Amino acid sequence: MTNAVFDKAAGAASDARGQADADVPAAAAGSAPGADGKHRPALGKKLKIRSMVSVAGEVLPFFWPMRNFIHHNPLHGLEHLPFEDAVAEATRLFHARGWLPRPAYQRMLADGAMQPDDLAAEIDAFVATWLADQDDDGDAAHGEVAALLRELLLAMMTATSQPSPGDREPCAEEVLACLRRGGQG
Amino acid sequence: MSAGTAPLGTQPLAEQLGRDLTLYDAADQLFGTRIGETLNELLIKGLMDFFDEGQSVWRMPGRKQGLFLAWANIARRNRRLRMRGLDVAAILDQADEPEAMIDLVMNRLGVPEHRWMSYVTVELSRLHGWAGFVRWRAQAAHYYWQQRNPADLTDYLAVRLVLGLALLEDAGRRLRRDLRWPALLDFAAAHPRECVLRRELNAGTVLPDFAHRIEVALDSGDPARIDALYLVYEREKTTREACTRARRVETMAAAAGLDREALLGRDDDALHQIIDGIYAAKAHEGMLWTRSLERAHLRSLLARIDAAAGEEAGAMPTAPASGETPAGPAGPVQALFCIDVRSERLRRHLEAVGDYETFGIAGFFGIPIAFVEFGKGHETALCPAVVTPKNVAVEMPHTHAKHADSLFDLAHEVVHDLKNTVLAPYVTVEAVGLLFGFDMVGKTFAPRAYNTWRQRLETRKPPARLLFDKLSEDEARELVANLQDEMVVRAVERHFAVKREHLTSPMIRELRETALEHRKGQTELARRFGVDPAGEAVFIRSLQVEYRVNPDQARIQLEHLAKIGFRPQRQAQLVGAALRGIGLTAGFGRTVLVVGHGSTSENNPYESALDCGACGGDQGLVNARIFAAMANRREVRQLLTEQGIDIPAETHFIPALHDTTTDEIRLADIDELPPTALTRVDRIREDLTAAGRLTAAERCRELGESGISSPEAAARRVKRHALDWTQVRPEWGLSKNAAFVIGRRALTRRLDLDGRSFLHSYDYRVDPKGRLLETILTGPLIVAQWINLEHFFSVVDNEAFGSGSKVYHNVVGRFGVVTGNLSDLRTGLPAQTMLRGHVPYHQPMRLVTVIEAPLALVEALLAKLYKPRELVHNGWIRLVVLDPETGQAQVYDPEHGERDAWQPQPIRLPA
Repeated sequence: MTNAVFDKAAGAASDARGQADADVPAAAAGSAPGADGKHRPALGKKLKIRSMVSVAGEVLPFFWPMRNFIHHNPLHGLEHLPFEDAVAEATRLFHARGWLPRPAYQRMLADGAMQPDDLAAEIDAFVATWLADQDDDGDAAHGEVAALLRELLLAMMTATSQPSPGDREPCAEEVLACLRRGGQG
Repeated sequence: MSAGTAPLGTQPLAEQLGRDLTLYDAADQLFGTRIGETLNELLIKGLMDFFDEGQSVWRMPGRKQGLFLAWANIARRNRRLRMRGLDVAAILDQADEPEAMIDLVMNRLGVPEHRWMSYVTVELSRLHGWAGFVRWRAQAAHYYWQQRNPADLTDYLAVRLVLGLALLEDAGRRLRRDLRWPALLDFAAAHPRECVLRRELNAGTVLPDFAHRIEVALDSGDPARIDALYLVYEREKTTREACTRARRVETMAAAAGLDREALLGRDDDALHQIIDGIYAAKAHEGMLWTRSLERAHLRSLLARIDAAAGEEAGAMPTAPASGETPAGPAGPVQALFCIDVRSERLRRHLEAVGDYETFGIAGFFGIPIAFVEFGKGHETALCPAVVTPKNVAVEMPHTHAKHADSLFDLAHEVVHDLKNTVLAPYVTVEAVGLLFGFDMVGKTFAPRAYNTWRQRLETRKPPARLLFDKLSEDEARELVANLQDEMVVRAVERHFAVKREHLTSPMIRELRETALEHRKGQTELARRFGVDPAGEAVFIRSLQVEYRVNPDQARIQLEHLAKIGFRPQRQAQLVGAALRGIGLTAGFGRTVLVVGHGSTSENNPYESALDCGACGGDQGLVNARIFAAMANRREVRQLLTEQGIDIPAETHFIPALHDTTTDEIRLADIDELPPTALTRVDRIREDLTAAGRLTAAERCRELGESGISSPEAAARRVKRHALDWTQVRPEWGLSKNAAFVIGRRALTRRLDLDGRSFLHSYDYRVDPKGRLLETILTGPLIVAQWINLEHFFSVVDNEAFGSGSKVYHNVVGRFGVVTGNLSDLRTGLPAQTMLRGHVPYHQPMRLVTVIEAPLALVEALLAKLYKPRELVHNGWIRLVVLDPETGQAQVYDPEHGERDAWQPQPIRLPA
């Protein structure tokens, strides 16, 4: 597994580099230094750059001068995406968090902003959809796994605190191995 | 779905380069440089200088050429940059246009062209506040500062890239490494494990007990040693993480009441799947919580609506439906409020203290207007940000002509009597010409001169009238001619020291005509006072250029005068549309209050955020006054009768302002009322005060104020907030907003919505084609959605999407705030509005939108209207339709797929 990853990385690198080599002559072709030694790309190139910048900037929310503060959706440029996808993209782009940390929600639950039934209903719906998307092992096994998963998830969300955001999450095999070993290193 | 394909680090560098990381980000991560930070600092300094709008004393020269060129000129000579070893000048010498510079730098960095787009996106996202400001400015064609000092994203990017290149090359020289794209990729390919270790070390996520060993190994530069250490480290880190996770699974099981044996009795396949399921849910966790919050709120709201409808049907079968109450002497008072969530509390209390019927309408009352306030050098758009006003309203002082009905009369007087008005001692050509010099939306003319003048203005504004009627063409021409005559008189006085007394009207007219090039030849003035032809020519030229008495200017002034005001037909159309939109077309009481809202606070750059969003972030009083004045006009009422809206002669519309910080409501334009109405007004004032105090008491509870013994005490406490310049939380504003109800008041009248709901009055029975609902969906709904999501993201990450603590804010350039001395331009709402200490006060959930209308109508509108459809289908709002024809509440849920999206449940609705 480790080697496959590095091969992939090396492949990606040479891929990007190969493209770079192929592109260099093209990039240089449209622009010759002018008589004064200044770089002067052709008009078509300049327009292309300008429109590229414009399109790239579409994801940025406008900032109105605060004299007249306008409430606006910071993810306005991503409204063409479903909500959850847009939040994921925005958190990647702006290095931000898209949801509150778990303890904040737990507090809201304790304060009555939502009931345990509401949360359970959402978890149930999630588990049903997720299992349906997996390769099926037969209904019997499904039912058992579903029930257990529901209980664990409800417990996880309501009764445990959130782990600090780690960089790499170990895969299921590793976690399973640790479980079997009895939690010792 | 197995999480974790790469052993350590987030993703391979080669994949992230250009997609999540710039070259200098990669360099920072690999070699511990701080290029990104330095780049931001240098860039921000330049931006603050360029974008200053009159706040600083020393101003950056050459800004007219645009951001890139102005910055380049300074940067070339910036000694501090050269001291850092940066050869910015050498780079800048190679291109003098921003596009050319971008091309040059990207090529020099070796970024392949098919990756430019995503690379540029990453660059622009770094300081998204400043970049967002540039982006806004680039399309704000009428913004004065943009016209004067233009800037766009291409300029911005060019500056950023130049700085980035200089810093990168400098770092490369010092590290003796090539940090360009091909080289970095080669490095990542040749030394992948070293890359991972380096990134761990510099990101601070390294296991502490390994840190020193890794540092030593990297310094040694021995590849074999590094590789060996990597393998040890990887195994160690993964194992530790896995064990942490395993322990957590056990904890979860214990919390769920399962013991370890029961859990591990399962076979490996089942457990494997469960662990995968846990990972999947974790990725989805935020959404699960959010949906729970929405589910709870929706459930509660529908249940309460159902219960209230049931009560009403049982209790008062003979109660007249809204709109059918006769307008007798004890008839109800109607009141129009803004849809703002803060109005909900007041409406509820007002309805409880007396016989009031309240309605919700967007706070600009359907009248988009560009308003020139007396004493201000610009016009303000009083309407939602998505609308552009086409008409101007002007404020003029009462001083002489209380009896004057029209702008014409009043302006006439002002222009002739300049020396008696407060303008007089400080009048400059610009200041007077400004009256006719406005442009549409946001142009600030001659701000420096005007601001200086305004500062010297007396602090108390003289009483002023709002003028919004159209001028006839003759009136307009005469006004312009009068203005020009005044200019001539002043010019003559300044140039020749000849006073008005010595001039005759024909002389003045002749001079005017000469300047306008309607006649030639020697003027009477020249003959009378012995001015030679050369001197005369100079004077005429001065008249044309300095005093703006010229044909072009005259034409512009006439054009602008034509923009003032509304014709009576248009007035009737606007008032009629507003009244129909909220379902108030009959059964008018003797008084109709039109209540706009605004807030009061001291020392608060966010003051405008607490004002009315429907009025573009300004106070709603001007719109209220204009609406009420229009609705009181006899001519307008005649036209309305033709439309089927019959307003009785005894009915009077009174504008008012609800101060949402103190919950005081002040009536305006009382002097316009007939004396017979004044006793009624006293009673109404009392009721408003009582309702205001009760609302203040609720507000104090939310603010966590202690020692409040009575509503009066509450009112005093909130008043203090409005005046205290150290108060960082004068009010919660729109925090905790959760829902938007579009329907009749009957739906919500008995409910305590806790100030969390926008309320827009709408009567589906008078809107068979859905045209009124369409206006609501494309205007107020969008505004409310923007407000809701602004709050959502400002609370989930107040540092990235919100603006952090107000305590560290510094106003910059007069248009925004930064944290400390140098930071990204802060966007969004401050911590004090979103949080109570560290605990979120606003609950982040999408706007639960309730529409009382037949489902078929709503579906037809969604099929037709692009933006509302996108918002509903992509889940940016949570839509519920209460269908009175079927008695079903239809909840739209995009997660159920398109076919099953509508989920019905029965509900009782008011008759």
